[in-house]
Amino acid sequence: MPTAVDAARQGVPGRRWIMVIDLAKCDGCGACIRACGKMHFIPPDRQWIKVLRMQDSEKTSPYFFPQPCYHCDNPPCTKVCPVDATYKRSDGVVLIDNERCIGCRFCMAACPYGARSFNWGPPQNPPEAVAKGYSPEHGFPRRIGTVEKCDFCPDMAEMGMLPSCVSGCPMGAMYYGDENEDAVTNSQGETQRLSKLLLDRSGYRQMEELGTKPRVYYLPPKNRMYAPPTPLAKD
Amino acid sequence: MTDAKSQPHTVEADMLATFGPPGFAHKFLVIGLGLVVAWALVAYVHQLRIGLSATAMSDYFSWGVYIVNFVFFIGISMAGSLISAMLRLSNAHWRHPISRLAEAITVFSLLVAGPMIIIDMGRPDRFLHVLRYGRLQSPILWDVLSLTSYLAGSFLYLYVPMIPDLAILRDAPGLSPWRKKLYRTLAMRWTGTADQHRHLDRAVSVMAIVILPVAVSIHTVTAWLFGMTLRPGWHSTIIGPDFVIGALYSGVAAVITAIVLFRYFLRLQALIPVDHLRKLARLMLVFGLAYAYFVINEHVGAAYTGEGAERPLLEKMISGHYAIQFWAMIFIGLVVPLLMLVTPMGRTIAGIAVAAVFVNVGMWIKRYIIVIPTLASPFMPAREGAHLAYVPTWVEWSITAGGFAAFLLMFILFSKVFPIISIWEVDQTKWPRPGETLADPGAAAGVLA
Amino acid sequence: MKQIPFITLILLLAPWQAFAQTSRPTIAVTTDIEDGKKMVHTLVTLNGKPIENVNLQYFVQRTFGTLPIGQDTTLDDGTSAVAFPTDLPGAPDGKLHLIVRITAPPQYSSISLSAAFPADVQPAPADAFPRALWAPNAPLALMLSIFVLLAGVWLSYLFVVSRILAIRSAGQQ
Repeated sequence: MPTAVDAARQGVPGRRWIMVIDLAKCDGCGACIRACGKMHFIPPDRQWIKVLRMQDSEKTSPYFFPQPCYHCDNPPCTKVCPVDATYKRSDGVVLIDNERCIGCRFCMAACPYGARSFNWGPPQNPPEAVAKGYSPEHGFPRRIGTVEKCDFCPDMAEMGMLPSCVSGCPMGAMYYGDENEDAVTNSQGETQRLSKLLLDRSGYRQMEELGTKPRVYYLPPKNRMYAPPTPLAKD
Repeated sequence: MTDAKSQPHTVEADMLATFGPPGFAHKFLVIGLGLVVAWALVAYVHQLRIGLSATAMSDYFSWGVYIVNFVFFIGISMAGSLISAMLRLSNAHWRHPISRLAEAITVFSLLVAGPMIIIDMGRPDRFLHVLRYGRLQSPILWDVLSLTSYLAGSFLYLYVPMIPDLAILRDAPGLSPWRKKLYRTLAMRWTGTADQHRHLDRAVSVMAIVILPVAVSIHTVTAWLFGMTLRPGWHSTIIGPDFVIGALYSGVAAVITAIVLFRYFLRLQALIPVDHLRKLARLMLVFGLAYAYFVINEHVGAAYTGEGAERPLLEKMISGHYAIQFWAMIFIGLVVPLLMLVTPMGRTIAGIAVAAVFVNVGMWIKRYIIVIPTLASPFMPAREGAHLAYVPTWVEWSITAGGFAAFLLMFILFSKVFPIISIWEVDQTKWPRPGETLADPGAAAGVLA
Repeated sequence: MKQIPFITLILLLAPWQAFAQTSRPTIAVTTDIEDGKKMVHTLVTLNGKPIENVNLQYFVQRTFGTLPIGQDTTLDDGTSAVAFPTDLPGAPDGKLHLIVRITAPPQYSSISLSAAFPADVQPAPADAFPRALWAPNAPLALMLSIFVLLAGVWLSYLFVVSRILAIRSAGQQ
């Protein structure tokens, strides 16, 4: 069993990447899904960031809910991985090593948010993906029989670039930053103090009671910029 | 090969007769089961080529029938520990004719469960990663360690009490050369001396004690594959004991089914009297009632409180998409067999056999009910366009059938090489313990008139 | 005769140049403590003379953008001040990289200055790879428990194997 954490699993030193999603600004357009999909060559049968239509109860308002992987600080997925193929780095990011994954899918069973997808069949890897070469930091070229998910674009963050979903959002609804700097920035260049933003706008985390400690915070959809989605039909 | 009819009607003679030239039924079964296993291999090769897309599994239904089979076969493995160890520790002598058969069930069910997990892996070529990079924090590692320990222990527990029998066979006249060689090698120079009896007793006593916590551990850690997640239906505090009691229940049912079949095909009626089946049936009734208690406890909390994600899950099982499977499990697995056992039907061989088969079918469905409906009830709503049904493909059913066929095949082949009933424990005149007389009531328990 | 337009050009340009030189204000940034509060002071001068009513926006450079920390207008002495963000963690180099940008009047807009000051707080370093259920290295209690259980079981198996071998050697006679 390895005791030293090898270089690829370390993380960008001194950083703790974090995301804030402003539900008051999300209009469900799905540009984030398309931007992420383009950057990561994602096949059409899966999404690394989903935009769900949520309605917490009958009388409460429906809202659009972008949901990437939360890169939890108490991740249920890394706990159950038998081979340390999915792991948490010092910068908070949870990645998957597709060269080590044995495809047991225990992490998929363990994730309560359903953030992970699986390569059930032989993947189609376009030439540009193959040319870039494999790294857990971008998750392609894909390998059959392994798990994949949103990676928080750590390779871009290290270069000072926002993840594709964040920069691709036309509403500026998604903020990304370094928790250690106490600042998050959106696609419109607005930078805010993370602690102040969460305090002023009553930021919360999805299903906090599960104890997973997500690194994605949500700002409630109050004073929306758009009309809410149509109420969900009763299940 | 000497004519069995001209020998005195002893346990040894009866067991040697089972080694005779294969009859039509035997050939038919072996070839038939062999074909099913071969077809399962064809299906698996197909799966190796196109990956798990050969199954009906998807991102929401990320576990399926292979995991159901795994849990089922782990479940029936309790048989051996129950009969060999529990009944030994409670001094139930009636276990002697059936303990080897039960222990064989344990070994062969584990030998099917292990490969079933490998079949479920997306990258079976990377299986050794578990040994190279294994994380002790993962319940899968706990399961690997427990299963290996249980398999090793069950092999020992199958082999050690068989040593005196192997010596009987080594000394028996008229057996083919390869058999003689095999028995001589495995018999460990057993001659029934006082020292050897002492060593054997010590070994079996230690095994009986050690195998029980190991058996409890395999079912508990298998349950914890589900229990250590956060999902509704899985994240329950009673899931460990639930699997243990379920294993006792389905283990006894498997033993009963095996006994009925072997009694019939190998004509062992005299060696395993009906009374044994009745005793086992009573055990099955007790475990069944205990399991029914667990099923009630599993669901009554969600039903009473209507809490969060538990409610849609319960609704799916009681009246929704999985209602047929759920109620089939309740009736086939619990209500019908338990009712049968408390009526006069439960004293007949046919009644007991049918009830046991119902229990095994019902318990397979129960494993399905444990795995699939929870996957159909995620916390977050499904994304637009997600695939939301799970209907197993021919590949999954073929491999399932192959698992059962392999199990039965291993059993049949085992019974052709080794005596399925312990000769020396039933007929205690063969290797008497020095100082014991035949007037000992315990010794007379299984001896034929 | 061609030189005439050239000289004219120079003569015409010269005042512009002088104008251009003198129309760029200078910003000087310092920090100090005022009434027990740490402040950022800015002095805006043009050719040495302080300029009044210049709008200044203050930012701290962060990884993905600039974080506004305040704005102020210069007084008649050309100074403006905002509170220094004493609770804002520094960059990995331990400093806060301040940016002061003129936003009004328009002729001075987009003139900015950046200066680095030591931050008053740094993010607390935490052990990113503790022994934990979710981390690569397992908690010691877990490792110990599993080891003890397995040792107990497999040592018993070894004992049983020793008895099998004892049976065999007892049969030598």
